[in-house]
Amino acid sequence: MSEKKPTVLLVDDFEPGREVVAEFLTWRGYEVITAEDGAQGLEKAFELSPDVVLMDLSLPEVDGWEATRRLRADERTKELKIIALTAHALERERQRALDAGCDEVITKPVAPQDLEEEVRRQLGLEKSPGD
Amino acid sequence: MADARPTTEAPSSADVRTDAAAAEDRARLRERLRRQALELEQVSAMKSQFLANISHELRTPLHAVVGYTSLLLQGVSGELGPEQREKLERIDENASHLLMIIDDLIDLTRLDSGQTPVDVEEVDLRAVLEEARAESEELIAARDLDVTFEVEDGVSAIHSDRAKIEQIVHNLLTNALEFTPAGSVDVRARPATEGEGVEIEVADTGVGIPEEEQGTIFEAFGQSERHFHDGRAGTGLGLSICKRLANVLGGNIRVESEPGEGSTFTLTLPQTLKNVGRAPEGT
Repeated sequence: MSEKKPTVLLVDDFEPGREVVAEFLTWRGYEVITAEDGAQGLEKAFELSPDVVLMDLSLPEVDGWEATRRLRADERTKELKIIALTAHALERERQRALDAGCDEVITKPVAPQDLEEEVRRQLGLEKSPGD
Repeated sequence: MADARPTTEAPSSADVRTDAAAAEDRARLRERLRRQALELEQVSAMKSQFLANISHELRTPLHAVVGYTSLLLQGVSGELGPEQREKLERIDENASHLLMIIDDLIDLTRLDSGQTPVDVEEVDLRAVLEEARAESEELIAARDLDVTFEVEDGVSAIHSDRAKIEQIVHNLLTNALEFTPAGSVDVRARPATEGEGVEIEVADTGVGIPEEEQGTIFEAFGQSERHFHDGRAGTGLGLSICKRLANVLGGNIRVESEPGEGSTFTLTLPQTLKNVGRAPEGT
């Protein structure tokens, strides 16, 4: 494929959770950037213009709700696809994430292939970039 | 009682003192109850927050377990031998089971703290039974059983929370299918035998429940000794969730069972759910 690989920014402070998703998405042909907290996530989002963000919500420095609000408020990232990826399972947390501006909320645990399907859906891709 | 006292006689000073003292007692009691209610509310809120935190902390490492297992099963780290695949699938199944327990515990706690929102609408029981059938299609197909669904004449739409009724029926049906090695499972909706309302009955010809367990079967982990037909364990929480859901809907649930003959679970629901948004006392 001559086109640029779709880029996913993965913001998660839990290392194993971050690594497992990063490894799978890389394997499926995505460019993956990772960040360990909300502040770092914002910095990389503005600097590297990813196509989609997978955003954990409970994060150090700037939390995922606030980071999402800031991305939505900025001209450069207001159209960015943001999928919340969270271990919060209650409906009110889901609603808070949608209210903050997330396009979709996925609850952990999730199998990486299901997560990739949602990434594809958000990007309007019919198949994985690696296929 | 003050009203019962003859009005022609002036109350003695002893009576007046007693009345004043009683009024003071009542005021003190009211104040104490008010404070206790407030404390209970705070305890309940803390308990919910604690459970929400526990759920979050359990899901986070489980995410890594599920993730790495899927990663290996998908072949990201190379081809798997059949035995490796089989063992990874066992890890995956058990991770799913653990997640079910976490979900059920959260459900149960929310029900116990009266924080379960209720969404009342017109509910057509035919649609509820159809949904239950569709949801269990795979399990029904996998079991060699006669499974029937019937809504008797005279059952009209009720006003209740459809999703909760579906959750109860789904749970009862799954149990019936799992605990019935041979024979039949019949799901039937009919007008209540007493008063207004409906009953939904799930009757099976399965293993049944020993009499000494029938009293505790609706308690959390009350049926932990029972295992599904393929040896999988239930979460042990399904029926206690059903019982509490039924109570939230202003109804009830009961069981009749004969070991070796089968079990019949009957969910009773009022025609119209009142006091929306508040769980009845004692749930």
